[in-house]
Parts: sequence; C-alpha cells; structure tokens
Amino acid sequence: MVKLQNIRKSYGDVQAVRDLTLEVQEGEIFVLLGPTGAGKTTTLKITAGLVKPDSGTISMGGKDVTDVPPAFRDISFVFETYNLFPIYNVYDNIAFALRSKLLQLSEDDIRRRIGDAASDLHIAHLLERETKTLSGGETQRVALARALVRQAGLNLFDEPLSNLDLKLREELRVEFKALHKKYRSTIFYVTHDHDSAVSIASRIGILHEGRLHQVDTPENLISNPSSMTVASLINYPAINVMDCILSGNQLCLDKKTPLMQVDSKEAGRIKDSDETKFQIGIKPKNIKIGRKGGDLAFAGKVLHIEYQGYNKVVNVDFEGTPLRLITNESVHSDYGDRIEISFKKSDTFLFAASDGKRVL
Amino acid sequence: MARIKLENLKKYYGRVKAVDDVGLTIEDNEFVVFLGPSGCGKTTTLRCIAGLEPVTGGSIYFDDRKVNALEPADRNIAMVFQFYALYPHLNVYKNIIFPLKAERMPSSQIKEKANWVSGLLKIRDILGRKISELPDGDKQKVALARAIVRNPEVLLLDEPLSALDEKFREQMRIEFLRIQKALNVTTVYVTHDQREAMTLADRIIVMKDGKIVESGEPEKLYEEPQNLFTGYFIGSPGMNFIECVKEGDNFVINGGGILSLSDRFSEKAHGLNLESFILGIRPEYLFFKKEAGGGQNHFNIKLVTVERIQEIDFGNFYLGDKLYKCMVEDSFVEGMEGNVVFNDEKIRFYRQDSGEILLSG
Amino acid sequence: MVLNDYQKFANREKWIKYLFLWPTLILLLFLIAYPFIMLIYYSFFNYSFLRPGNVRAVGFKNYVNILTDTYSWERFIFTFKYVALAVVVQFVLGVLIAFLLQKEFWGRETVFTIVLMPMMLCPVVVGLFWKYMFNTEWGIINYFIHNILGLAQVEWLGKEKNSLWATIIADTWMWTPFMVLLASAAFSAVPRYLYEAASVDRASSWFKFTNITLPLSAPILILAVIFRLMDSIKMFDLVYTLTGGGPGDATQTVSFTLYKTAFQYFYTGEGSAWAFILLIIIIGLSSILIKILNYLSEKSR
Repeated sequence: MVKLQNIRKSYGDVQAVRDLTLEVQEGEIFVLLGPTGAGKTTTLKITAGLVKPDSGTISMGGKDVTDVPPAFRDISFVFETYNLFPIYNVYDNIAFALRSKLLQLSEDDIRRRIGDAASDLHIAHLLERETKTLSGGETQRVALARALVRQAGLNLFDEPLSNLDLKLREELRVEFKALHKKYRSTIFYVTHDHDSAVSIASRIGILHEGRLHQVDTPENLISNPSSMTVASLINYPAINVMDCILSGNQLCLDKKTPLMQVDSKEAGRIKDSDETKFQIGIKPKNIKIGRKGGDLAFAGKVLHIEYQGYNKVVNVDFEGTPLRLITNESVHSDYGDRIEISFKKSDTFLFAASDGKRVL
Repeated sequence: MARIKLENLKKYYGRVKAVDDVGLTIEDNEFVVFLGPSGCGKTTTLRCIAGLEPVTGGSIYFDDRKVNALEPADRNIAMVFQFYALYPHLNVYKNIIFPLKAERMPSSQIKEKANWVSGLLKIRDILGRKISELPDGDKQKVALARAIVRNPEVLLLDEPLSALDEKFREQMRIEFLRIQKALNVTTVYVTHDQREAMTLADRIIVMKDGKIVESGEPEKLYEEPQNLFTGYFIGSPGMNFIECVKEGDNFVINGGGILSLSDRFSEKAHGLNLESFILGIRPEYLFFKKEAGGGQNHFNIKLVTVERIQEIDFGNFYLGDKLYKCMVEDSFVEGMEGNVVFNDEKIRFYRQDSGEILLSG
Repeated sequence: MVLNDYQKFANREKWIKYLFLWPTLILLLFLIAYPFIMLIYYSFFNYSFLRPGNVRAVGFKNYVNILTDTYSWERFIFTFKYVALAVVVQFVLGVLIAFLLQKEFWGRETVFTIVLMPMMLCPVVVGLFWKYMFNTEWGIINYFIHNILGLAQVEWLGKEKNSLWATIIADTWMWTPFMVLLASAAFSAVPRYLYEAASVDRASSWFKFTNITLPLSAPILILAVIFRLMDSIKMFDLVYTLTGGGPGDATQTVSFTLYKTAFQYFYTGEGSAWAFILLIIIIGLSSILIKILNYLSEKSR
C-alpha cells in the first residue's frame, strides 16, 4: 500500500535514515521497532510528507507521492504527544479533519462517523468536554478517534502509548488490536516498546541507527534473527549474550571454558565468516534450572532473583558472564548459592562480535 | 538510615486532595515503593517527604524527629528526579562531588567517596565527560551516584526510569537491585510500573486517589491482594474481575454459568449474605482446555485473540460483553472454542463498592 | 480521489505563489536594491546633492579620505567605546534585575511593567528629556549631586569625557529593559526540577545562578547581546537630541558623522562612502557573532 524506496535523510552530520526500503501491505499493522534516536519518527514523518527526504521515493497505492503534501496523501497521523487543539472541545477536535473542503462531508455524515468512532473507543460521554479536562488515557482515545474517523488509506502512529501508565498501555493495546480487526485498516506504527510491538504487529521492522536490519513477523524475528541488534530488540526480557571464540571444534568462553561442540559443516560456516570473536545469544526462557533445559549443563552462582509475579527472573553469574533465566517454579536459592543451569544447543544463536551479523 | 513515619499526611491544592490522610511507617533501611496510576498522589507524597512541598496537614517524622518545618537541605535526604536534574555545565565528576563540596568535606575524603561511588555504579570511565554528551542511561547513573555519594539518611527516587527506553529500564532495574544491596539507606521509590515495584521493593504501597489502598510484600500483594485495585494494578496482565450473582443456592457468573465451589468455600460464601460480588482470579490460574475434567469449574468460551506477554501466551475471551484473559499453551489456538478451567482455591471474592476482600479460596 | 485533486491544487498554488511575491519584489527593488546600488555608485564620485552638475569620478578617493583621516578614526574609536561600554553595562544590569525579579513577591507584575516602560519610549523623546536632566545649572541630576550630596556640579554635556558617560547613561536607561525582558524569558525557561535538585544538594543561590541559570540561558542572553551590539553601532537619534554631537564633535558616532556629511555639508558622495563602510562593519560584526552563537548552540546540543 505504501512503499518507501531508498530513503535517505540527514540532519547536519547526523544520518537519521540510511538507505531505507520498506513496504507496508494493505490491511496489516507494520511496526517499526527501535531505540530512541534510531530514526523511527523521521521515517514516519517522511512517509506522511511532514519531512522531505534527501533522496528516495515514496509511493502510495502505486502512485508516486514523494512531492505531494500531507493533505493529499490520504493519511491520518497520531502524534506521540497527541497534539489535540486546545481551543476546540473533543467533538470539534475529532471533526476538524472531516470538515476540510477536500473531503466534502455533510455535518450529518460527520456526526454519524464520530458517533461510531466514539462508541468504538468508549468516549461518547466525553464529546462535549474541553481537552484540558481529560486524563492521559482519555486524551489518547480522542487522538485515536480523530484518526479513526478519517477512514484514511494509511494510518500513521508515532509511539501513541508511550506517555501512558503501564496499566493503561496494556489495556489500550488489546483495544487497538480489536479495532484493527474490526476495520482492517492499514497501520504504520513506530515504537521503542517491545511489548507494544510484539503484541499488535503483523510484521515488525527492526530499525537501528537509521538502518533497517530485518523485517518479518514477530515469531520469525524471534526464532530467526539476522543480527544481534534484532535479537536484542525483539526479545524481552533481554537476550543473554556470551562472548566466545572458536577453538578447534568447540565454542569456548574467552577463559577456555568449553560451551558447545560444532559439527564440521557448522565449523566450516564459522571459518567462512572470517571472524575471530563471536557472541552466543540465548533467550532467558530457554535456560532452565537443573538439567531439564537440555544437554548443555553448567554451574553458576546466584546473583539475585527478580520476582515478577508468575515468573521469576534469576540472575546468575556464569564464569564472569551474567546470565538471566526465567522460571515459574519457586526458587529457594539465595545470593551466592551454587545453581545448575542447562540449555539446548538448538536454542542458541551465534553472532559475529564485530558487526553482529548472524553466523549460525 | 532513618525510620520515616507519616501521620495523617494531607496535601491539598485548593479543592484537589492530592494526598488525603496518608499514614504509614517505613523502617530503617527498608526499600519501599509507592505504586499507582498517574495522579494517585505518590509523587506528591514523596515531595512532601523531601520537603519540596509544604504539607497542608499532618506530620512527617525522621527517627521520631518532626521534620515538617525543615528545608530539604536540612533533612539529610538525597533525591533522584525523573529527568536526571544534573548540573549542565559541570562534568560527571564535578556533578557527583558537588554535594560533598557543599558540605565542605576535606578533599581527600571527597576523592575517596567519589572513587567508591563511581566504582559501585561502574561509571569510572566517564568521569571526565560532559553531561550533554552522555546517553540517557548513563545520565541516570550519574544522578544516582550524586545522590548516594554522601550517605544520606533517606534516598528518594521519583520515577527515575520513566524517561528511559525499555532496554535501559531493564538494565537499570538490575543495577538498582545490585546497588540497593550494597547500601544502608532507607529508600522510597515512586513508579507507575508495577514490574519495577515487584523487582525492587521490600514492601509496595499501592496508592489511588490520594489514599493508600494496600501495602505489603510483592509476593503477598500478587497472590493475596486484599483489594480489587491491587489485583488489577499488580501483575502483567492484571487480575480478571468477573461479576458474580447469587441465584438461589448457586453462584452464577455474569455471562458464563454456575460456579462449582468446594463445600467449605460454598458455606462461607453463603454466609456472607450478599447478592452480588466480584470474583477475582489471575489469568495464570485460568487454563484453556478443549475438554474439561469433572469437578472443576469450566465455562465454554471462544478465544478471540492470543497475546504473548513476556514469553507467556495469554488468550483473550469474552464472558458476556467483557474481555478476560487466560493461559494458553501456544498461539495456535486463536479463534478456537473450548473451555476455560479453574479451581476454586485461587478465587477471591471482592466487595463491589469498596473493592475490599470478602473471601478467598 | 484525494490524490487527483492534488494536481489542480498544485497548479493553482504555483500561480498564487507568484501573485503574492510580486508586490514584495517590487518594493524590495525600488526601496532597497536600487538605492543600495546607487549608494555604491555615488561613493565613487564627488557628487553633491546641492550641486548636481559638477560631478567627477574620483575612484576610491572618498574611501581613502575617510580611512586615513585621524578625525574619522576618532569617530570610530568613540563609537566603539560607546558600544562596548553601553552593551556591557546594559547586560550586567539587565541580568541582575532579571535575577532579582525571578522570585515571586507582592506587586511583582507592576514592578516588571514599570521596569519595561523606558523601552517603549521614542529615542528622540528620551534624548530630549535626558538633555534637560543633564543640564549643568538646573538639571535634576546636578541638583541631586550638588544640592543634596554636596559635591561639585558636573558638566555633563559640556565636557568631552562626561558627555560619553551621559550618552551611555541615557542609552542604558532606555535599553536595559530589553535585556531584562530577554533575560527573564531565558531564566523562566529553565526547568524547575534543576533548582530542586540543587536545593536538596544544599546549593547556595549564587551556585544555582552561575551553574544552572546562566549556562542554560546563555543562548538567549548572547542573542540579546548581539541585538544590542547591532543596534548601538547604528545609534543616531539619541545623540542627535541629547548632545547634538557635542561638545564640539566629541559624541559624534559614525552614524552621526554620516548624517552631517550627507545632509549638512551635502557631500553626498563622501556620505555614501561612510554609509558603505558602516554597512561593512555591521555585516562583518554580525557574521562573527552569529558564528559564535551557532558554535555555542552546537556545543550545548
């Protein structure tokens, strides 16, 4: 539905977006996930036409819109700070875009659309209120309603949930997904929050320092990350990282602690990569206490236990490398206790230490 | 190290009761977290303890010493703010030692303390850097270093991680845990993120609308919340709350079916003499199964969507017109029909008006 | 659909763009471009407005005369002395007053309005009444100095050295409010929690001012200084009414000299050269200052 091709944008010396190419398909929620400063907001604003790229093209529905101003691109935009007009009440805020001469809607049409959106977002009782009397969650819903009524071909969201409390965020995520299911809109959403991304996205693009690392469904990104950057951004709690080198046909921690064997094919691939230093990544949920995790068994020292309610995260010191594992069993160890951990080789990823690219 | 006591603390802004009669005692060296949604009064309470806001009513004691009239500078407290509040034109080292210089500590002692705190927080390699050059996570570490360098009696933290990216927040949580273990200081931490509260707190104080709802250890608040709001706010996802009505000899779930309770529980429930109440049960104690075994509670439902929250798959389903969550084995059950199954051991009954606990299984 | 409307819109836009541009372009051409080119043109002639017939091209003679005459250099020196002193005094006073007005106190808004009033007056008016106030025999300032403090009367506008200070005082009175205004705006933009952290750390008011308020206000303060520098170099109206350039030609700024040359002696050609030199000075100075401002704002980023 919208295609960004070779987009480049710099601010002074800083390259915000480097040669970005991506496509948002009709009816999907595409989430751009990356840390602050990765270039997500810039990319979104370029898609909207609020910012002009230094080079590259944008096309919507097959037509080139690179030089077309935002008003003509049939988009809606929800800003991180909502940007509601303080002089209008809620109803007029939502109606604002609909009253544009470009859309030519009658007041009855407008009233109907707003009525539908208000009931979807549970804000029908707020329509007469002034915007400054609204709570954070209510303001958020009004901003969403304003975008929803446009029935635009492409809906753009810039971290709409980041200013909300954790609880509100969790609730709104579920509603967001339900709304998308109902309206089948095309959504382009950017965030740094892993939970938001994974719970609502059809596909996720990992953006880091202006570069798009990988685009795929959340499940595929988790099971098959192409680089360390992807693995560290897509996994929550954070993926464990162990520095290692190849010694013969064994991968070892730098201090000559053997970790796992590699067969000849794998060894060949490692040698082909021309790298000497590597990093093994393994998700906390794939490390188990005792021997149940797999055939690779080690011992470490308990550092602390984070109580999360259903889950507990155990921080373990393994030969100087901190590891975290998740378990929902009771853990009766204390600081300094010895603990046995185990995991499977097939649950690990091997990355090159220099550029983070996936090797195995 | 100080014992903090709040007695009938009130802070009003005109007619708005930001803090409405709050009373509690924080023990020496305890790590207490004020947890609640925006506007619940947690930050205001913290600022009253700091002396940055004059109280409207009530008293604050540090170790039996009434401190209401004392300026922040005289309360021997240290504070970490949400937006770091570092002195912009001093470098990291000068920021950290500033409170020591204000106390006119001899410079050999200053060096020693600076060394200790920068080692503890692992910021030795950035001591010479300018604040504006630092990434956010490091800025917060420097703010923390500045706060603890002079061994305050009380350490106050106002949503220190809110401004950071998720990744940093996770890292800093572990750092906080590690540092907290090394220090001997009464700590009061304010946040709206219940994951932080669960990880860090010795005791969590849940607040809403200027009042304390409940306080207790994380595990106890999670497993046995005495108030509906606690069950809702703590835990990711929060507790399911289902309306329950008494129909003759049975208890009926709104939109579901009849509750099957153990005899002991049923007796207690009937003894309550109430027509309706709220049933609370955590999603992880509700299991989705295609077939239900006998004797257990089970209700026929259809899974609308499946959501993965922190490595666990939860299914969303409707009972009546409300959405609830349960545990599922994997994400492939989306759209499937089946049963949601639970034992009554994990059920908690709450009052509909106040949210207080009535009964537990 | 909406995209198709864009073509129509874009075409209409182009046409409207040019429609809006024409009036301004014409004004620019006739009121700025043409006079400016003529200015440079005349500066190479010994043209006099009063005797248009007797014109001869003199090449750079006008410029050489100005730049080699000690008289001119005295004017340059005076102007720079005045600019430097006036701006420094206004800066220090302005920042100080803004600092004092930071705190909330009863009547603060009234005091603030009164402080800002001098800036709203017309420089000619200011020059005139300060002239009366500075009068040696019956001016109110000397009344205060001589009759109340018992010191000797000061010949404010009669002596060369004093007249410099009289000008600076009148200028400071009129323009310090500008500094106060900008400094206040800059100070109020500093986030409050920085001061709170400093309070908790037991910082003194002086420390808070020098390590929080000033560094964070620096960009706006520097901008204010640049404004005042630009303005002071061109200063004409205050001198015209206050001292008339006197005593003798002691307080003639470069602008004033330009005025005399072009409109009293009617040496239009030489006056044009003065004007051009003044323009170069201002452009040069502003480029340097803006570079400094950019450098500083880059550093603080």
